[in-house]
Amino acid sequence: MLMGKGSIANPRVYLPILILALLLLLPFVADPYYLNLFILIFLYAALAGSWNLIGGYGGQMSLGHAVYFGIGAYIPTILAIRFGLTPWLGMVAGIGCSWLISIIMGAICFRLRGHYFAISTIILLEVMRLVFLREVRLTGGGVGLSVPYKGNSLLFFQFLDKTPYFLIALVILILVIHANYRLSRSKTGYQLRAVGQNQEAAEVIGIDSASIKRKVLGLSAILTSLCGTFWVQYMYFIDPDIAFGLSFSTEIALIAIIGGMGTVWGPVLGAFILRPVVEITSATLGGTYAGIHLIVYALILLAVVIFKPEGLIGLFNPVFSRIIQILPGGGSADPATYLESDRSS
Amino acid sequence: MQDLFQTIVNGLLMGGIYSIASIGLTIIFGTIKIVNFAHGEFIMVGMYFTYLTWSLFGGLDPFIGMAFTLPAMFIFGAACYLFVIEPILMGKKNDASLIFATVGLSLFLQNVALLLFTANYRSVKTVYTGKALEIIGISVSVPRLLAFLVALVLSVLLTLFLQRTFIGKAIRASAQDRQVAMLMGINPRKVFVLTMGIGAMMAGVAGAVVMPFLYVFPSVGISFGLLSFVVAIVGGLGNLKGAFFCGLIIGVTEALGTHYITADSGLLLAFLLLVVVLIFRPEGLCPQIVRKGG
Repeated sequence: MLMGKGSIANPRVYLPILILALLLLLPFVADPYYLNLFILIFLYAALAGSWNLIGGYGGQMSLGHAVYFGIGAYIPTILAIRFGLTPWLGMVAGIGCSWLISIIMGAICFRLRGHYFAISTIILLEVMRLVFLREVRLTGGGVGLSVPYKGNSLLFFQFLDKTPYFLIALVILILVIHANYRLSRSKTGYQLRAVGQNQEAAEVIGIDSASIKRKVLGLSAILTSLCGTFWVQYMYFIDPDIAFGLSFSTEIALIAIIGGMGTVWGPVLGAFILRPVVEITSATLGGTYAGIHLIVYALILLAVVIFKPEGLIGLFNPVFSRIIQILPGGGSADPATYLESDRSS
Repeated sequence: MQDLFQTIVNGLLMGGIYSIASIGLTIIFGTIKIVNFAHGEFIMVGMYFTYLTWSLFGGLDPFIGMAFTLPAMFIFGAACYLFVIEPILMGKKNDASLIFATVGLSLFLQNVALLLFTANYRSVKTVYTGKALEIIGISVSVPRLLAFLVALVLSVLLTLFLQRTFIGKAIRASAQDRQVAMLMGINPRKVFVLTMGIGAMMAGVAGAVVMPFLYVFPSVGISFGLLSFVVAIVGGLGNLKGAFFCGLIIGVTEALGTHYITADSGLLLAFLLLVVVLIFRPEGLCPQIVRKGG
């Protein structure tokens, strides 16, 4: 569909449209519990997808992506409390700040590679957390900030019903998937993958690795910041441990790794598998055994990195191709289309 | 002036513990070439082992309890290597799976600790808990002094072990050039298991010596782990002497920040020191310092 290629009779084209239509019907039939679950799945998929841009395609293992999430959550809230500014404008301000911070982070962290890079992103995340804990007057310190309550107001990005949140989360997710798709097919995307695999070799053939990494990190930061603003408007509350927490920050990356990093659909698949697992284990065992869902998380992660380092998407691709073949019009599928995995490089 | 000396002494005492904590990290990196993101959790496990020996054996002193905790830590580290690290080193290894294997391990250990011990703070009571010595007007906490001295002695013992014994030489040879070491008949698998065991043991030492004056809880490893990273990188990853001296530097930096700015500035100052080092000397500070020292 986005390619403007292939007819509507092709399952690779009509299947996504069908799924989208079904998702749009969901708010009319599902109760708030399931709607909430889907909102969280969309949000985590969008976060993992944003991480995937620089982490998956670029191989830059950022473990500090919550920095941009936290900025996206804090800036609109601070502006709303101080100046009564609408979160929609606050969101734009948050995006601007996140982009600026990504430039600074890039300048520091991209001097380093591999493990050193990962450590430096963790340390900078911790620096942000400590700074936000200290600046009590602006950020409320450890107590956190609550979003000023305005009731049902489109202008203030607050709704009593979950349906608008569902739709906005879906739009953010589609935006992130689109960004992944465009990057995976673009010249920048191929150059970034080359840099991720072997930076020296990429530079020898004339790729400006620093500028590409900076550009994509900026894009990734902007999208992550968007998710942060959504989160705070949905939850009405933010504190430094949520916004800049290390385990949350690694969770973003884990979803992409487990789903399949460096692919368009891996992070989405990861969120659709992991969020329900988290919900079920917390709901059934979380009361008696604290932290059990993170143990499940960790075990899945270890199993994936040991047995299936390319991610679960590798298991799903054959199943998906089979489904496409069975569906009407599937025999003559155009190979270069939307849902195809793009791992082969 | 007295105030300044007092702060520096406190910082040095804590720095000795950071040294021993990061020596474990740096020896694993130097030899196996992986960064153990679960190192903070290794220290946490060491602390819980110490707590367990203390409570099971009726208040056994943590320093004597090391006779049990350190072998247990060695086995624990070796098991982590065999079950988690080795399958990845043997398979299609890439940066992502190596990083996320130990990240997963840290998540696992933290939450298993939460499951077994709950989030409650636990501590060990000893006869010298809370005691302090007065030396030329500077008060020195007895448990912290003991912790520092034990950390110092064990670092020296480790260095001697690496320099004098055959196994130690095999470890150093593998760290310098794995291929050539293999050609000389050194079994890399044995060396790696051993290194991981020793690294975990050093984390166990750090965990054991701090128990008389710090609490243990499941997420205690996070700040310990981060500080070990800072020390190991500032000292130059893989450099034992560097890690030792930088542990002291970071300890003093943290103490000065905490004392003269605000309570939470110490950690921030230590992290900023790392950022500055990463920008200007990504290879670490200490090679230079060690050369100057002789």
